[in-house]
Amino acid sequence: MAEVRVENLSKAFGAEKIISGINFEVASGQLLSLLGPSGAGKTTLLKIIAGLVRPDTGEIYFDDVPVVKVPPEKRGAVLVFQDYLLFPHMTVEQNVAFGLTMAGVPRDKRSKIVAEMLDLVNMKGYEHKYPYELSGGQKQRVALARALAVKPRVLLLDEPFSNLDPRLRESMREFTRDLQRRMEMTTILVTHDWEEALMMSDRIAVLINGSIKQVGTPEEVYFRPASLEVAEFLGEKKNYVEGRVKDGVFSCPLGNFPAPQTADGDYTALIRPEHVKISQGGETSDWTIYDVRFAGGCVYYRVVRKDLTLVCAANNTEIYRQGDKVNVSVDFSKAMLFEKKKNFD
Amino acid sequence: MERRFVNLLLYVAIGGILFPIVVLMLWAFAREWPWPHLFPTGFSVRGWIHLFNPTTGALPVLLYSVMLSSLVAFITVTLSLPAARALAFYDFRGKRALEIFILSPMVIPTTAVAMGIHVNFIRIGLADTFWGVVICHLLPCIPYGIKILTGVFEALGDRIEQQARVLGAGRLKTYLYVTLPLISPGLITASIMAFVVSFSQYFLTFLIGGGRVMTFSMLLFPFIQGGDRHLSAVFSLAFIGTVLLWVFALEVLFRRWVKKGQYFYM
Repeated sequence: MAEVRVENLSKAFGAEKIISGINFEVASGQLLSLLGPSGAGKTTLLKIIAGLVRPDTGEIYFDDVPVVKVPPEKRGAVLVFQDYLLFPHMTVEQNVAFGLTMAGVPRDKRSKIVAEMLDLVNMKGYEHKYPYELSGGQKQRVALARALAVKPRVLLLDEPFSNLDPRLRESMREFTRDLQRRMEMTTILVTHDWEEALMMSDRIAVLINGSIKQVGTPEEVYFRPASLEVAEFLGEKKNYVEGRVKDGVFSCPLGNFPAPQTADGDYTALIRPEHVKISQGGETSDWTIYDVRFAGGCVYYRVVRKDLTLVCAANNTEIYRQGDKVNVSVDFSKAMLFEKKKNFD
Repeated sequence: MERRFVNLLLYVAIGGILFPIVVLMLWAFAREWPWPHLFPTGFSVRGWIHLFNPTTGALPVLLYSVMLSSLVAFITVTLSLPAARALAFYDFRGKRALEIFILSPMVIPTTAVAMGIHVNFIRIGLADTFWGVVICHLLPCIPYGIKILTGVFEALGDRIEQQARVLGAGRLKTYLYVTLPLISPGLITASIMAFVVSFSQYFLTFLIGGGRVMTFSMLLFPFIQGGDRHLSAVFSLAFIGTVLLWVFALEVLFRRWVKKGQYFYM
């Protein structure tokens, strides 16, 4: 279980820059998510850390020891690929034992560790099955066991849950996070799923267009995104309200709100749907429910006024119908102001 | 309608393969088969006696030939492996040109270059030798070996090797424990192809071997040319049978290795 530090990592394939100037740290035993849209260079970054791709510049430290020149088989960073890549010609047992066999661990010790690992991932009794006989979730657990069997210094997971169906995905996430905590395994998880990143990580590094835009705890990244780009990427539905700050007051069509320590200028306020509250209104209410999307645990509404549309996530205790008149209040203390203007489509 | 058409094609194809073999079989036991008889008019095993007779020496030639072609197949696969892997996994300057160069023996007839090879082989003392023949047989075999194995490597992808590497296997161990077992079906196919191409070589063997290196196809050729249908048929059947037996032996030999469920996809 090592502490990982990445310094100024860059890589280009030909003229195409994949990642540039990457810096982050993962404390020993923690899980860091690399979150970003597809094509952001997440997998390349992971392969660089594993030693499969040579970076153009920069250095990686495992416990303060530089490892860029160390070949992958000696580095101790085990990568679990998105599609698990179990060796199809080996049984589950042989797969899990692979790393140990390669390291020359004697047979009796090997089979003890394999049994232990299979027990850990609840795959006892599958020792002599071949990968093609396993379901997706089982393959994933075997892949995890195979990676953990070699006691890696760093575990690298590349979109590990994206090939599973939603229900299994949820339980595998819990299972993996649980296992990672229990073994105090330093882990870097690559994902494009912001919910997954929020739920699983100790810290999140947001990777967009080949560079890291923000590193922080899930709460930090969600509530205090460093830029509109980051905010855009976290959360599905958002409200954007344009306005102007003058003398510490943000004025927008929704009203005037205090914005202390904010320089004067044009701003876009980003308001998350859960910070828009609606309540039963009367004939004089300005807002009308435009559409309703019942999502079980919460209900999404779109509410309209003559000049504005807002998305709102409300609890399911009271359900409004399309066309209902409602009152809307916005919790502006949770809103985020970004100076950069953006075109919305 | 369509189904019927497909069936018809199938019958034609099967007939096209079976009919000549049936004719060969009949000829192999025919003393004479004059027109307009539908079947041979006399029975004979003259050719078979000739084939198995220890003094006429057809069987030793057959064994020698099998050994030579097996060696050619082995060398072809050994040389094709690294080339195919490089072509499948790496991008480099001039890759396309190299590919065309490697496959060129498929389109340029060996006859066209055999002369030059012969002259040079005489100069370095390889003409009229076993190894001279082996080396020049590689020429038409290697393109097939590389082409087949490149396809196999491409289907396999390089990520499974990367997976082995991060789990602690060095390059050599990765190759031995992961790559080779996984591409073994392709190895067998490439070996068979190379064996058949080498086993059927007549012209190259004749020119480079100078008649001193005697392969089975060189034995077969004069019979066909001389119009002895009975002997030609017997030797042709022996030819086909040898290839089939060789393929079968290879499959049996590697069956342990090529297990069920061993696919590139999972």
